[in-house]
Amino acid sequence: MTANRKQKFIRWLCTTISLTSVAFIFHACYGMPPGYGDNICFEGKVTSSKTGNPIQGIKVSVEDYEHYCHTNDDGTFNLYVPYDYRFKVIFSDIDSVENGQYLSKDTIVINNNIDNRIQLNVSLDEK
Amino acid sequence: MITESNSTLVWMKSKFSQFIHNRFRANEIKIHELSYLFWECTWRCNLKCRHCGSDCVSDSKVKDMPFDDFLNAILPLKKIYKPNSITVAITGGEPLLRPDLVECGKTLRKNGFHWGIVTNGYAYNADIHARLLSAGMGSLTLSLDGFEENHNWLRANNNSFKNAVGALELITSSKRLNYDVVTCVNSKNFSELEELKKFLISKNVKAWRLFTIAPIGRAANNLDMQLNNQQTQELMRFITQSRLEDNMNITFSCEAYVGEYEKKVRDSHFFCRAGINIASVLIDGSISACPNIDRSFIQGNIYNDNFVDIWENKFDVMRDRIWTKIGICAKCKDYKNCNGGAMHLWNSNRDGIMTCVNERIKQNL
Repeated sequence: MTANRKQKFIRWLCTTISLTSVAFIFHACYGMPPGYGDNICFEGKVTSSKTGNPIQGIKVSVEDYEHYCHTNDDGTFNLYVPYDYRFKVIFSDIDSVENGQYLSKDTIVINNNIDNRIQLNVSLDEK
Repeated sequence: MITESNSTLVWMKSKFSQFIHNRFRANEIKIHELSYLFWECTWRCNLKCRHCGSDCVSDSKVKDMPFDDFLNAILPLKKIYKPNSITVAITGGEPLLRPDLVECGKTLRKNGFHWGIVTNGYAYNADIHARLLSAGMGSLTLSLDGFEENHNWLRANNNSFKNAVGALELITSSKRLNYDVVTCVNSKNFSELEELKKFLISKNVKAWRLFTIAPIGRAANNLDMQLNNQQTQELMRFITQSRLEDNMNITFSCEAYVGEYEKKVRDSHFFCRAGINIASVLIDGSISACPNIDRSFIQGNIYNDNFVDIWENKFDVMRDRIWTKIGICAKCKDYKNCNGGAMHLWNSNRDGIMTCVNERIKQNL
């Protein structure tokens, strides 16, 4: 259940008196620590600038982070990235001629979205 | 200079802190807000660790739970909790053996839950690392139980140390992943702790958690797993001293109350939150608290019961632990602080705690 007002007050009182918020931050004995809770969803669609058709297999990666994914057969992508005000996203064709050949593109994403979700559609030029 | 009045002040501060914590604990029990949820996603494992509490094996006949079954059981939680207030800990067996792990995690994150995994690192590589992060994994715990000889001995695999160190290097290179390294301290790796600490610092590890090995599962009858009383106290001293060095956040696990070492080996007082803030969905759908708790404490099953109902209305055995005032706990003066210790140290007989770390420390004083 969630705490009622009296319980919240007791919680607040105990942590204030003990001068610590450590009480709230715990993880189970045999579990992992909780995350920082700051990853956000970055999603969109990659299409051909020439035809408008979706492009499968484009690698979507974030500079300075390990995060990446590939576009699906409908050109869509979806990955979680660390919350940052701005980050650089790179779209690169890594599957040779399999789905056509496209020039890479990168772009700076400015995150002022309060919903923790960023939508970006991109079109790539053919080589 | 430590004067008598200073030491009295320290003692009073310690007693007051414990008093406030006990009030806090009582309040938290009444609230029993779910904030941590284990999912025992598989019993398969790529190792055969000598101390495994779940007795996991590579060819487990117990089938993995379909992810949708777990998801459908926990989605009703969103009606009463903000999903981002709940961390799902994917455990096993070895979670990396699930081919759909990345998709499971991404779906959890899409539904607002935070999630992470507990792993032995054996199958952890750059590709899975990137894919897990991209699926929204926010945290991870990696097991490392000594240097090569002792780690491989405990994990019963000659490549496990090499692979675990490879995993460690990937994990520590991540800028925004919360993680820690856990070590199960036993009679074999005990003498390596100082060197292991230096090794972990050299690898930029930020957090290290040390356990003793509970006499459950495969460790139940293996004396090599257990520390003697002197080693137990030396472990407490090692952690206390290491925390003063401030190179790495080193803690003793929440597995036991440690008396005079409370707040010296951890940031907060001992508080077993099993059934109070922690629940689990086990491999067969059973609903309990931490997966290593004896299965006699199971409260329900997702295939027959509503998970939220079970969480809200059952778990009395873990929220009112007066039944633990038996055996060595019956007349223990620390009982009000310890409250019967950790749930995983009680078996189906409920005739006494399996082992008391505080008692072992006191016996060595």
